[in-house]
Amino acid sequence: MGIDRYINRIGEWLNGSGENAGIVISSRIRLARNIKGIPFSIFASERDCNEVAKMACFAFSKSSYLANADIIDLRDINDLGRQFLMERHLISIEAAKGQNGLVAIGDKEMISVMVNEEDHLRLQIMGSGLGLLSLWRVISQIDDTLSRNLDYATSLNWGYLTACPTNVGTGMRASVYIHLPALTITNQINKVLKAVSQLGLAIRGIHGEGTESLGNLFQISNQITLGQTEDEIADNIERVTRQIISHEQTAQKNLLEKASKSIEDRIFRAYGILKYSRLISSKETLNLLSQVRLGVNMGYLMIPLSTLNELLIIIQPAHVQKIAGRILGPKARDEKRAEIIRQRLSQ
Amino acid sequence: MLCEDCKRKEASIHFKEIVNGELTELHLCETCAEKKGLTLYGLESPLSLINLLAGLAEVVEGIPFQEETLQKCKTCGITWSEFKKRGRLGCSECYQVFSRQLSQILRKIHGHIQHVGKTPEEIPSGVKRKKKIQDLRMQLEQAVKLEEFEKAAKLRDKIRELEKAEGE
Ligand SMILES: [Zn+2]
Ligand SMILES: [Zn+2]
Repeated sequence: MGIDRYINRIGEWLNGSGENAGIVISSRIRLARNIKGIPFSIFASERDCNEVAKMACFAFSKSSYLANADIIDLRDINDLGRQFLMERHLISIEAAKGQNGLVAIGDKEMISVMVNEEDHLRLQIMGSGLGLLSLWRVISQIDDTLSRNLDYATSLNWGYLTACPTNVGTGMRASVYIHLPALTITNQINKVLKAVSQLGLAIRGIHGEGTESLGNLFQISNQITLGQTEDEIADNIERVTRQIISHEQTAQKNLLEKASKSIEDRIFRAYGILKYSRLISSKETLNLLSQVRLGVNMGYLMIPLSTLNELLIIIQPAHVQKIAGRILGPKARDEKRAEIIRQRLSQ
Repeated sequence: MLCEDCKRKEASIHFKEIVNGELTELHLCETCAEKKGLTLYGLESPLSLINLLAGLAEVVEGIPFQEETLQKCKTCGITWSEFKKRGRLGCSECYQVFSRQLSQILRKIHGHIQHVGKTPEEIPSGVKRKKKIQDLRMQLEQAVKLEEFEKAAKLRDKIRELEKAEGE
């Protein structure tokens, strides 16, 4: 039962508000923290993990952001439920696979803390649109409160000590999730991304067959965690993201001027399929949603961004099955997915 | 090309990451990709770093073989060769035990070996804070006994402030 109450909600980080929310779907910050004197989670005994969980829950109770958090013991949740939480970005893949994990989910799903993931604590905050610096202010304050009740493992030279040396220092991974359809359509995407990658950032995309990326969605995050302040990390990603946004906006404008009919046709065809199909895969959905989102940005379609953002989450397999209320095979999922999309788009 | 996760099905989804112009790829079948969340947003550290780390641990220089094989963290029990296998340290003490190897690795990964971000030392820890409050309470009692009311008022304010800070 526990997590089923999330089925008919959407996290506030998907509400489509915030800077450039048409192009930047969300911003996220994660902080890795460990408690002194206890082995890191992979090497910790069940007793150690229980101890960490107890200390963490006590610390949460002292934070105004987390005192009323929903605390879910992942041991009580089956595989489908874990995948459901992962699809909502509330836990990581590692936590979904892990043994003694626990997650505290704050109000409106903006803030969550994974306990006994690779590190004892992984604090996370997500927001709609571009806004890493403001998210950093909030998560840092929560981190301060927790640190008053948890003895964090740190070193003078290396900052926060983490299970993997790639996270040492700030323990911070900041990222934005960005939609770049016009740069893809006009074949400029590789050039832009390659240029950006020279600035110490990692850029990820997913590709199906062929060259176009799945849903034209990309994630930009900081590569290093040691030797830069948190503000520098957040600010660097924000500045680079603004540059990419302006390239995307220019490309959209050019498309409108040069190929408006064919683009308009493409957008409405995509919308038509989403609105009326009876069987649809998640891969196809992501690609069509990308066209529709472009249509909204260009002013051809009037659909709330929150609906498009929500669809990105709920068309995933565990969500489709949770909404259906039972386990479904791939074919049945495609049918249920089509139904969910039709229903959301006719609201 | 076979899926890198299940090594059974054909890979049809290709996860690409670019850092410094360098491309790292992960090829998955649709089922395995869906399991990771189709957006792979759940993936934490950059792939390239994980790959880099595996290579780096092999080439740590200037540590005699003998020393490297015998060194063991007393707190968690892991050895350097175990770290090489898993790419994960056992506990925060490991950073002391293997500091020579790690400083080489950290420099190669991050390009820096000095943390400049925030530290929790700026805030007294819960234990320290509780002790401080106890101390102040004793001083307060003393002050009241000696009828040093001005001092007592100041102490009371300080205690309140610390107690409030404990809440948030
Ligand atoms: Zn596979
Ligand atoms: Zn250790």
